Amino acid sequence: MEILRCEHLCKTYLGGGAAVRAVDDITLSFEQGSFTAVVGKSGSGKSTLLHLLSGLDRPTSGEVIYQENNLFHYNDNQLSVLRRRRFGFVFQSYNLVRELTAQENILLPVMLDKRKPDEVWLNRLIGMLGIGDRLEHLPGAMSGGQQQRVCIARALANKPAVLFADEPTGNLDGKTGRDVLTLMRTVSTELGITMILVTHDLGVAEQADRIIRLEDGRVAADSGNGAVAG
Amino acid sequence: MKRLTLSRVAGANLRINRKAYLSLFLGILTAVYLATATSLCAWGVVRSHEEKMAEKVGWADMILPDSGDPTDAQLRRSGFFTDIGHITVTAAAENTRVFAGYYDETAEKLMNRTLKVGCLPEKAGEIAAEQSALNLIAPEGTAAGAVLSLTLYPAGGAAETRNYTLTGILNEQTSGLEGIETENGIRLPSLLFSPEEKPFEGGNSAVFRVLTYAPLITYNQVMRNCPLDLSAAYGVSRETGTVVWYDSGWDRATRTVERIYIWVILGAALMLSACVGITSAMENLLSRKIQDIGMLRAIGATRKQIRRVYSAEAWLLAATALPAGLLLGAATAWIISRLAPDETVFSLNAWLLIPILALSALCVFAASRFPLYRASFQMPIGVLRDSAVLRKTGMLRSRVPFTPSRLIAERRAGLHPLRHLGAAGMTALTLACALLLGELAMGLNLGDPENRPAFRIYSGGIVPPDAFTQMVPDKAALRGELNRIAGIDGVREVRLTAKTYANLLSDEVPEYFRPVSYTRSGADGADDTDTLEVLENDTGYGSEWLFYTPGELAEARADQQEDWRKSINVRCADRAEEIRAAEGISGAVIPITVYVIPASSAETLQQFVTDGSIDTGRLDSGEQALVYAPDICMRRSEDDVWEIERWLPPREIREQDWDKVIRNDAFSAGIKLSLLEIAQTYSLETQEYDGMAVYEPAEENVAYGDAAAVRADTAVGAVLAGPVRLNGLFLSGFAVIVTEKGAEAMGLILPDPDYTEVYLSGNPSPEKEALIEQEITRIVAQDRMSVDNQSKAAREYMQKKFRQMLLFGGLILLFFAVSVFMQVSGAARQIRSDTRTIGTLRAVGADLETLVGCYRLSAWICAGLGMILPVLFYTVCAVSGLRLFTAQHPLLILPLLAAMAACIALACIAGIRGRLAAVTRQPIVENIREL
Repeated sequence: MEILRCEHLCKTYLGGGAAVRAVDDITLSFEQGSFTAVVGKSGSGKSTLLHLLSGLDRPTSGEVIYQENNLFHYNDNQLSVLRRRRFGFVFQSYNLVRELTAQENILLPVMLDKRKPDEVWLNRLIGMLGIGDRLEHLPGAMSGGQQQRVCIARALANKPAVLFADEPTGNLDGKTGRDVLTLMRTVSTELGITMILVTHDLGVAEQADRIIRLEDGRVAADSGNGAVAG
Repeated sequence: MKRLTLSRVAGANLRINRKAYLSLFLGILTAVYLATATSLCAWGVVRSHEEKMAEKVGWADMILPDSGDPTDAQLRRSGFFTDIGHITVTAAAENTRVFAGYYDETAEKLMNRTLKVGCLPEKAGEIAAEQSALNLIAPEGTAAGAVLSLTLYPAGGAAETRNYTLTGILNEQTSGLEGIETENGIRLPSLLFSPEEKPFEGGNSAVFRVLTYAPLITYNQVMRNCPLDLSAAYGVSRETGTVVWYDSGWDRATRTVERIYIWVILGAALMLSACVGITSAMENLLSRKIQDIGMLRAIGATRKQIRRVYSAEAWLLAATALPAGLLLGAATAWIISRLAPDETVFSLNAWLLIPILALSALCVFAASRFPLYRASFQMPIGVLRDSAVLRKTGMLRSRVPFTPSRLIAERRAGLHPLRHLGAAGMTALTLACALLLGELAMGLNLGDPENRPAFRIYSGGIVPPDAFTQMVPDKAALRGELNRIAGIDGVREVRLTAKTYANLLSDEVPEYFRPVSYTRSGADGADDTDTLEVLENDTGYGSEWLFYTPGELAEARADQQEDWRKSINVRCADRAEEIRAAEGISGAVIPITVYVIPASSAETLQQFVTDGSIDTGRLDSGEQALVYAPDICMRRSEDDVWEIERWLPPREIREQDWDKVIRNDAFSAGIKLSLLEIAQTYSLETQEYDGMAVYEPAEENVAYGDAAAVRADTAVGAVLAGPVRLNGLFLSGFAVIVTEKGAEAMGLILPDPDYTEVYLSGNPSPEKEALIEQEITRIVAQDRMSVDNQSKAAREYMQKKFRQMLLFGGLILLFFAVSVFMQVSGAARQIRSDTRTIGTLRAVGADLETLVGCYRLSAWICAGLGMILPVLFYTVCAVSGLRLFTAQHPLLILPLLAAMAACIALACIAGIRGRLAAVTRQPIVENIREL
């Protein structure tokens, strides 16, 4: 069942006197519970596509449809509610709130939604991520890997429908990266979460059900429609 | 190659970041400008007052009446004086105390005789006069150019009549210098001749010497330290425009500060705002240079060196801003002096550069110091410090559930507890101004202009020889003059109040009149026993003798040589005995004060009646009189000083609040009053002092046999108590009050009125009022009367109060704006550096309200901290018992101030919301990408 799709999505940046089309007329569809990896070279537009799909950025033209609703017809508050209930986001540079401890950062979307936390789920998540001993620490007092795991826990705390991850293993060493990815995969499968992951690491991408390769803002290949070249 | 110095680094910085420095330059320029403008205006106010006073009393510091000792040479040698001028008084005008004379060159300069019209006399046969003197010696309407025929009495010579051409009308000066006279009663001249005037035959002149002090010398220093005999000298204060007997530099400084305090407050407030501007600009500038500072630290620059680099920039800018600020400030002061010529004059003084430069430097130094310190303490390992601080304060424990915005805000407040002090101080200042405004507004005595006398006329009475006798003029001199005022167009009513000393005849002396002894602690700690008398008779004679037993009287008689008080008591007792014998009185003769007032004034006393009622018909027929018999409360305060309250209405007195209450248990409505007036008439006649004619009453030497004794019986119509005001003063002891008609009906002989109130019809224009005042002044132009223009005083009072209220209102707005600006600009800086956190929060689903919540707390903290000041104020008032207007209404004022603090907080929150809304209008990815 389709959960998210984009139609004729374009994003143009104006700068240096010339228009740069970071995303150029992309139309894609994502099935519920699927794991999609978006790959491409630096500057190919993969992060921009992820930002547009997750509503973090506005397209120059085109639409993003989540469960038959155009994201860009939502007002700011409706988008906020959507982001904290239905979307999860893992940033390459973690983006934790520096005044909050690891535990508080994890609970942030739940608390923003003014809901009671599902303690069993959270404890499991924390246990799986191995950050139980770091919960009372501020982000500044944690390593990059620990921060990334807190970021993943935060993204999954609300059991989102779609998990967006932008180079989640980019700052981690090989083993930790693999562990983190395995975990994300496990959780996503278990909860039926749709996962869209941006990476330039083909090793990481290979774990996905579907690989979309971007080149100059266009879909060069989509394994959902055939094999991915190169 | 040029050497790289810190100044060169600073200079290069300035050149490269011109735009960034513009706001800092403007801040410093504003500081210099405000320092210049407010200093010049304050100096202008001081100068303006000095010039006004100099017009009133001249530039002299001391005047030495006719005396050859010490000589001019001795005075000069003493080092206390610089200039010495001479005023020669040669004659007095007939039947007046108007004196004529001339000045030498120095005296002319020092007395600063400005003219209302015309010019000073230059040759013999010319004369200039003050208007008040002219009113007495010349027909009404005499103007400059007129020829006057004056009969003048030279000292020791024969009267001589000469013709003079009036060259000009002098400003009034001798009234300000009233009291300066020679041993023979000769005063300063209000008629001026030319020094070339032909001397009077056989006449001796009196010479006054006018002196100015050497720099930094004051009256007190001269009187204490000058070895010369200056006991006859009079000090002249250019602060008060009067003759003074005590004039210290400290007092003058205090009065000067009182005069310019508005400029001081305004200057301080504006300078503070300029400081905020400089701090803000400096912080802004330095926040852009965090990386540079880090680089400088990395290559080994010390914190002090970093501070020097950036403070050198501020000083370079200050040096550039100085001339422009000085020029603009001077121009503003000049414009203000043109707009308010009565308040301030434009005056430049090189010495003023010192406070201006000092103020500007202080401003720049203080305002730039804080950001410089903060910048130099930038640490790359700030997060470690954050954890430690939060852990120490117990704020790091995770809380579930939590409100994210509140938790983030609380942690920030915990990490930077001092960040809001500046803004909180501004909020406190705003509230302090609001408190002052409230104090001014609640203290405004608007009154009812219809029931407020427009003019008050005081006329000095003749002091009676004893407590029992009243001096009455042989003709109704003043009463007739004052009644003429009622005929002036525009005057609605004239109320004359006369005070007479009469005697109450009674079988026994009421206990209520018994004096009470109490002991008050003196300033030196020693106890001082004093006596409180219910029966106040302001002739100065006590009533102790009334309660003497024959034995005590004999004892007092024996001790009277040593004890002056007992001698007075013995005199009173003897005098009472003499009266009793002459009048055949068997009971007591009790000297009391009787007020004679118009019936219209009696009607206004209704509110003070405690027993009986005021019936003006019966008062006018003499059947009834009013009695003022207050209950007097005494209480010993904690610091051992007796507090005495005479003006509480009896129903408001609670016995338990006082240590002693003297109750009126002797007088009630309906009881009979038997009065005896002993009236000694006196006549106004010409006296001669050293050959010069002056207008004075006859010697007050009265023998009882010469006096008329009038007996009058009446009854108490009503008893009054509370704050009753009759002759411009509150009554403080027992008194009988009768109406004019009642007094006449009783056959009492009326003395001269000593207090007159003039009421005008409607609300006349100032021009009309000035005409009426001129008329009144002309009518009462006699030696013993003075006029106060109450309307003008009330108008000036209101204008002054409204100006002060406007000032404080303006300051409230200014501080309000600065407070909001400080907080919003601080929050804006914070938001700029928090963009990524904001993006993160938005990405995980925070809406605008949540984001505002992260910054809202700081606004409320500022409001809360600001409220500490008013709470402190009320605590101090409650503890110290300060009876300020605002202090009496905490339940009204505190919520109002809290509402104002809340308004500031809400305005800040609105500003913060605006900034955050602008941030959230950007896509989230922009927020995150920015860093």
